[in-house]
Amino acid sequence: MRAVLADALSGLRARRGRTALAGAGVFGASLVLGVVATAAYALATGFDRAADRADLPSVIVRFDDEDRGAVDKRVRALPNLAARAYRTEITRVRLQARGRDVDEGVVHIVGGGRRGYAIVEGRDLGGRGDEAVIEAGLAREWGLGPGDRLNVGRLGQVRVAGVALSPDNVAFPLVRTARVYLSRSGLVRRFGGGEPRINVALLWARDESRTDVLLSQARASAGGLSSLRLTTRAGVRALVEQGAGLVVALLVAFALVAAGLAGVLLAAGARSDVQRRLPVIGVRRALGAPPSAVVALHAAEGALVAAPAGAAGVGLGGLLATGPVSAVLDALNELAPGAGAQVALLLVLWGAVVGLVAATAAWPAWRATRDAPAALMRRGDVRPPRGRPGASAGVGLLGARLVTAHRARFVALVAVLGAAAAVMLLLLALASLLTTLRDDPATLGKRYQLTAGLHPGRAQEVEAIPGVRGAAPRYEVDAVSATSLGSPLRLIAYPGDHTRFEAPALADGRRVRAAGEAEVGAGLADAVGLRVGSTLAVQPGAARELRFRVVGIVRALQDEGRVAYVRPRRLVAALPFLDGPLAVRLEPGADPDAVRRDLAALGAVPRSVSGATGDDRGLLDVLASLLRLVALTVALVCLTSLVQALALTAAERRGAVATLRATGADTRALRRLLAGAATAVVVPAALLALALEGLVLAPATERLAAGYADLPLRTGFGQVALVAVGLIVLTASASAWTARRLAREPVVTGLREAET
Amino acid sequence: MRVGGARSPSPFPSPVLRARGLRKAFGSGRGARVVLAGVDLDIARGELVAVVGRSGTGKSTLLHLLGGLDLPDAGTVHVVGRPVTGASERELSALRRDEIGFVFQFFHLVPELDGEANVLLPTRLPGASREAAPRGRALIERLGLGDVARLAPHQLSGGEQQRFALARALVADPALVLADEPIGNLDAASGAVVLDLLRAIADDGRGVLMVTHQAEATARADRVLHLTDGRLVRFDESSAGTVDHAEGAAPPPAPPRPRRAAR
Repeated sequence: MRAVLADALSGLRARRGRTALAGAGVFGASLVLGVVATAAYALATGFDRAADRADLPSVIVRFDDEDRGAVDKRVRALPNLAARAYRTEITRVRLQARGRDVDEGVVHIVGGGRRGYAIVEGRDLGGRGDEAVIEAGLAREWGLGPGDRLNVGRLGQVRVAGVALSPDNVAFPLVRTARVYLSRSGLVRRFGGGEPRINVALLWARDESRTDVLLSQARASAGGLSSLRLTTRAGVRALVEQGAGLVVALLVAFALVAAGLAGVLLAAGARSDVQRRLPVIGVRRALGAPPSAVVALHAAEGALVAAPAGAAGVGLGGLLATGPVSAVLDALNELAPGAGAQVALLLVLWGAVVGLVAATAAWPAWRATRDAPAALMRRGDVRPPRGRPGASAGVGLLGARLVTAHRARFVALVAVLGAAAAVMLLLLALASLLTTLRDDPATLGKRYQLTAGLHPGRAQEVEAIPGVRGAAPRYEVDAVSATSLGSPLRLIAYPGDHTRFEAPALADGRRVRAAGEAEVGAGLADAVGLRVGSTLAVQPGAARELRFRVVGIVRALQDEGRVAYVRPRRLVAALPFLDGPLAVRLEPGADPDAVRRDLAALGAVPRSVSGATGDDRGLLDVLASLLRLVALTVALVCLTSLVQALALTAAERRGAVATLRATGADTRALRRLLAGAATAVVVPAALLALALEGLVLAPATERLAAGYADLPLRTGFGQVALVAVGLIVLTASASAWTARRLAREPVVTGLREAET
Repeated sequence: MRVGGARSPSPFPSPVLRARGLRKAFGSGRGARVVLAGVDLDIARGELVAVVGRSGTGKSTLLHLLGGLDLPDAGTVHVVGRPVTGASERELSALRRDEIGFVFQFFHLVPELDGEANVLLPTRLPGASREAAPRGRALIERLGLGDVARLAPHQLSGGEQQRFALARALVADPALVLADEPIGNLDAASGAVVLDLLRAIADDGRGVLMVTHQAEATARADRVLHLTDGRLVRFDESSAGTVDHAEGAAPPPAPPRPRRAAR
């Protein structure tokens, strides 16, 4: 073994240029794999990690304020119950610190027992009434830490004891609500009085796989509790992962493309190297070396190249991905994997890279050893090309002929580059869509541009404003499904035809025509198992259960499609104080500022409507940036691959290039030669990319997303132009760079190599 | 026969090639191996010069330095008065394209192109003369390669391949042709054809330098030089290859010799 390694090392030293080229290829592929695998692993496992660390309950039950003893009496009788804890949740609390404030603070008064959150900084609550634990998002956003002071509504100033993380919701400010935890016993001690009534119960199942038993019993024994809402750990996970799942799926797809690209290039390089060294292999075989020794030597050379290059690439990739991924995980209230897990993942990747490279080096050597040594010694660098020889044409066409000489490799290279470019197109289309979602209400099916806080009875006054096409009250109520484990949803109601103001695409069925009907978003239909003809049973806020007949499924993107459009009559009957702003739809070409002024004159506070809700905007920005970053990485990988392919072709065809130079080709001619070679690869790859993206990837992504949202993924002219320009730049820069390298080498070197 | 047609009178005075004090060593320090230790050489128009020597004495290296394919450690080379040493890569490329034709022992035809396309390859380079392409096609016909012009190199015989290589070397109507073992890979009959062609090329008014091992090649030459110990010396057949006098530079002017008819 030692002798094989020594032989391999000396062989690599003798071919420093080729070794460096192969090492650069392994490094590039490993870098991409490192980035993608780190991001995909962290995002795919972030929720479970955070949930485990935070000891997230199996079921969270919310209800109107109740006496703790009465609730506990029912809860402790539940089957499959491992532990329970109770909280009092107070919403709309004003929080202030460091000159910043928020009115949507939520105070959780926690008692003894399991907490359901993880302390990530400082310590947990003691028995004091003047200290608090704050959520990580709030700490990060406001720059708070243990020891800082925070004003909590009427309780006044408290000291921050620690920072907590709980993945049952995304982090502040992605959600408007910032969470603060206070000690029940501390508050009683500080302010006196009896124990506060509770409105949240946290239940931990003994057997997580049988949480449904716990749930059904909890529902059955909840009689008398009003405004009951149940949220399961699995439900929270599904909700959070619907957002990140698409990104993870894309990253995994990209990892596969990157791995394919790396594999093709490495295999091509190894095959070319073996082809070139056939006479040497023949001599070794003639001198008595068994096939296993030849194969072992090539495998060892591959492994020796891959070990340092792969380690550097995978390590750097992991480091590069850590920052952006941590930002996304922070926003989702999830945890990044520990250093040990990350290192283990990178080690596995490194091992895979080294194994792959060794295998791609060993395979063609093994195939070569099947020929007789005499035959091996006779074979030169380049076998006669198949097919008709080319007639006289430009230098560029000669380049195309050189690169297409190895048909199988050419096809593989085009396929992989095409797939990479298709992924790039898809990523850009997705990023563009996310940006549009953020800014353009029409993408969410919203046809109104402004809202005005006026009484519904004044809609006619608003409609009389020049430039206003229509105005109607828009009611929006948070509710939970009464039939499916308390799945959250949002009810949206307009009097009359809601499509005048909001018209997400109809996927199935028809529009709402009567008070007892509902159009449900595809996301809700998927989560709750609804279809046209089903009954949607919901509990809006503290109201009694309401039932609607599902008449249509719409591709709504708002709230991941967990929405239902209904007529307001039943809602208003159930919630008499329900109020909503007027949605104002403008005439095409109307001046929004003029309408805004007129609305203000009526006493309203007009607000512009954006694409996404405020809760989603931050996440959309982060995701769009992440997608563009990955697209840029793909572009760099394409550039590296193309340069490598050109360098490989030039290295293989050194003799032809040297002959061309001997007949007077200068750097400009070499650039043309290589540009011809690059164009021969890039043009079919670009066409393949367009076809792949348009016919396969985009429809597949749309179908993937259609479960909860409508993603009208159409590659725009801008994205195609961007990718086309990118490919041209890619071709030009790869050609220029390789030509420059070629021109530096004395002509005679290539001639000598071709003659030996 | 005339191969590429007589060259038009050049504004540059003879010689076509002038090299002075060429030195080249491989390796460095104590391990350095000096292969050229101050070579002087002139080649006049119409002159076919053969360089002989044992294997490894630096014959091909000399040819590469003269053609600007490699860089000398010291010394100067001028082709038709234009400097080869010290020229930029662009100037060297232009010189190789316009004034120097190379013929190699292993032909170096591009396997993906047919014979004609190989000949016309230099005409497709940026800056190539417009007359080069018709000249190339005419050369193919004159060299009797018209019937096999559409065949790939691996479908041609060695002699045919070398004739295509010769046509490629002449397509730009160069003043100097450098041939490295041009018949080293050919049988006797094919070799004789190629040697006749080289003779005719010189007779057309070009300078031709040929590196060779074969006696039949030296027999066609106007001058035969022996490369030994890094220097060029006049080869004296009567003394069976012993050194006569160290002189690679051109002999004193002699009356113009009549051009041979190509065989």
